Amino acid sequence: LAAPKFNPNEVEFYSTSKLRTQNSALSFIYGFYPLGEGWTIPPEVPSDKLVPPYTPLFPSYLSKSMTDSPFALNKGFQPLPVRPLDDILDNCPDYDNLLAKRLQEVSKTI
Amino acid sequence: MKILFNLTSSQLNLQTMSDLYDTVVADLNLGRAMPVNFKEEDKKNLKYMYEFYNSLLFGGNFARVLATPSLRMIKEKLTDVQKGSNKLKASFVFGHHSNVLPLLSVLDLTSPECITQKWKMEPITSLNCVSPPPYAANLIL
Repeated sequence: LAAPKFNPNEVEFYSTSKLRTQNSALSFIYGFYPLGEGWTIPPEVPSDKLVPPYTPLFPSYLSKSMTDSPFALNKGFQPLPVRPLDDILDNCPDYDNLLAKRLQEVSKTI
Repeated sequence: MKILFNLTSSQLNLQTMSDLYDTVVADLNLGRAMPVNFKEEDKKNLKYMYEFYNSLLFGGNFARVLATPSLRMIKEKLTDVQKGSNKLKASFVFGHHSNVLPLLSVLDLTSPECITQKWKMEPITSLNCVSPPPYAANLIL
């Protein structure tokens, strides 16, 4: 369906702002775009440009894989954007009233 | 059911039973113990109340109101692809059962009537009768 490397013109993701749907989206994305497929650093980039341009406060946290790996991010991880859905879906200003009305209708039906 | 789950009389309504089914499913998936006399038949009945209540709540004109923004979004994307102004191969949208159920309702894929027929094991008179979305459900258009 889609290329292993994310292309924003090919695939897009939306989620509501609730944490559980964002978790669903991210879990799906990690399966859809697994580790090892992310962007690589062009070989012509000098290695001294791969470390922060300042003395790190905790140098031991700079793992070897961060400087020796061909990937831009650890293990070829692809951080992908999840677009907000709320502006698209939550545009009914009368939602609460309609829900209350529907609950009343439902109570009468049962 | 009242004795099994120690429910009060005021809790004996479809909304509470629907919530109870959610809890039972979560507990079963987590391997938690059920009440001693809880039987498969009780689960089936709770499931029916959950499905009936939700398909009824997210039905009718309320479903149309709720489904309109999603359907508009889908229509715009498909129209853009048809015109050639959108080259997307897929749009993945993550939401709640309250986003999916109105779509199932307005697309005539489910209804409280057919859910009841299914529960009673009667012939289903509608062409489609899907259950309200379970966990991790997806709708592919």
